[in-house]
Order: sequence, then C-alpha cells, then structure tokens
Amino acid sequence: MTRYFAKLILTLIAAITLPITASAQGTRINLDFPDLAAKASETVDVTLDGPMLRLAGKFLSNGDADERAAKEMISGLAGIYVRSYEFDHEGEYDKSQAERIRQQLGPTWKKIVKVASRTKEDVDIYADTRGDAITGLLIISAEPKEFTVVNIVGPVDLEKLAGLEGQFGIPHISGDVHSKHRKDKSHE
Amino acid sequence: MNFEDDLARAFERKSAPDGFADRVLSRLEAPPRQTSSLLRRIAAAIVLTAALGGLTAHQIIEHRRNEEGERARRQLMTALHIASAKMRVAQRAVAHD
Repeated sequence: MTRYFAKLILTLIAAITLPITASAQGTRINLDFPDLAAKASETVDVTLDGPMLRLAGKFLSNGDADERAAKEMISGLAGIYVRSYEFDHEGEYDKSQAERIRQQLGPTWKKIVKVASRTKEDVDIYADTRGDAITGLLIISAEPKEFTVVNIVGPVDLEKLAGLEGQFGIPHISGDVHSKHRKDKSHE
Repeated sequence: MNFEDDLARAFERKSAPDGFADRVLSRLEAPPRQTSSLLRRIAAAIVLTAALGGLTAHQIIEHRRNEEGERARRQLMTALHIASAKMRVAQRAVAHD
C-alpha cells in the first residue's frame, strides 16, 4: 500500500514538474531560409543546441574577459540559432521573410522593442515570457542589404546580452563576423 | 617352426643401437622447440599492434573532439557578437526616443 502511494506521488510530481521544465526552456523557431541562402553573397549560419553549447562552454577560456562573459551568458541556455544573410544589392531579399517568422510566434511571445528606420536598420525584438521570466528571445533585423535573425532558447538576461558587445570591444559587428564565418566554413 | 620358438625369438634380449643413449640425452638437454618462441613473438606483436591501434584511435577521437569544441566556441562567439550588436542597436534607438 505504501509503495502504491509512493509511486502515485512520484507520478504526480513528474506530471507537474515536466511541463514546467519544458516550458521554462522556451521555444525554438524555424529559421530555414533556403532562398535567401542561395541569393546571399555572405551567410552566417550558427546552430548551437544544448550539447553543442555545453561543448563550446568547455572551450571558453576563463582568462579571457569576453569568453568569461560568454560562458556566464550561456549557462542555462538550451540553444542559440543565428542566420544572417548579406546581399550585394539593396532589395535583393523579400522582406516578407520576417512575417513568416512572426507567424510562428505563440501567445507567450511579446514584442518588447521595435526599431523602424527608412534608410538604416529595422530591428524587432520579441521575448518568450512565462510569468516574469524570459525563456526565449527572437531578434529580427532587416537592413537594405542584410537580413539577420537570432533565436535564443532558454532564460536570457537582456542587459547582459546587450552589454556583451561593449565587453567584446567591437563597435560594429558586420565585417568582422562575416570574415570570421568564412574562416569557420573553411574548417568544416 | 613352432609357437615356442617364435615366442623365444620375440623376447630375445637385444642391445640398443649404437649412440641411442646419447641421442636420448641430447634430446633432453636441447632448448625448447623454435615454434613456441615464434608463437610468443606473434602474440606479443598482436598485443602491441592492438595497443598502438587503440592509442591512435583514442588520439584521433580526442583531436576531432577538440576541433569540434573549438568550432563550437568560435560559432558561439560569432552568435553572441551578432545578438549583442542587434540588442545595442535597439537600445540606442530606445535611448534616443
């Protein structure tokens, strides 16, 4: 009889905690853009799920301030996914791609920032919120010659994330990231 | 020819051929056969080859893991650069409003 109750209690605990754990991980958004990749002159494609993030974390140096900050940032994350496409000419990509991504967002996603610019860069930031906690982040950036989407799955500290760039000591990202990516690709 | 004569001939005492005792003694003192030594050498070679093979395989796996980890680290830093840069764009725009 005691065993029966113990099993029942364990089952109840599992039934309650599993959905909470799953929801705390946030949602991964589908970021497949085969058309854009074919047209782009340069592409950044980063897919780091949980095991790869943990592996990357092991290779981050504690002696380097940037990498220490990165290590702190990724603890508890379930995935980081980035797609960035740079084009030779303006208007070479369909801006409705952003809409296709927005359609995937469920009711827990809230737009927290919208930056609209006629000539520069439109940036939309969405947060997957469960209670007071942010359990996922989506950044959509559309520039005349560049389209970038970032999806972070897991608890995100927005202040820390924004503060990383200053810590990395890089004023603007585009050139450096893409040249780095080319190097990465050649190793694969 | 009868049975008794045959029996007597069969049991007749005969001396051993010349050098028989020496041959027996020299055989007893001779080193073990060459084949057992060869087998030991082959076994040792197999064990050594297996050990070297295992070590090499381990080193290859470790090397691949290091490469994979290093690539993941670079990708992570790239991803965080991009995410952070976009966050800063939004932050600056909000601050200007």
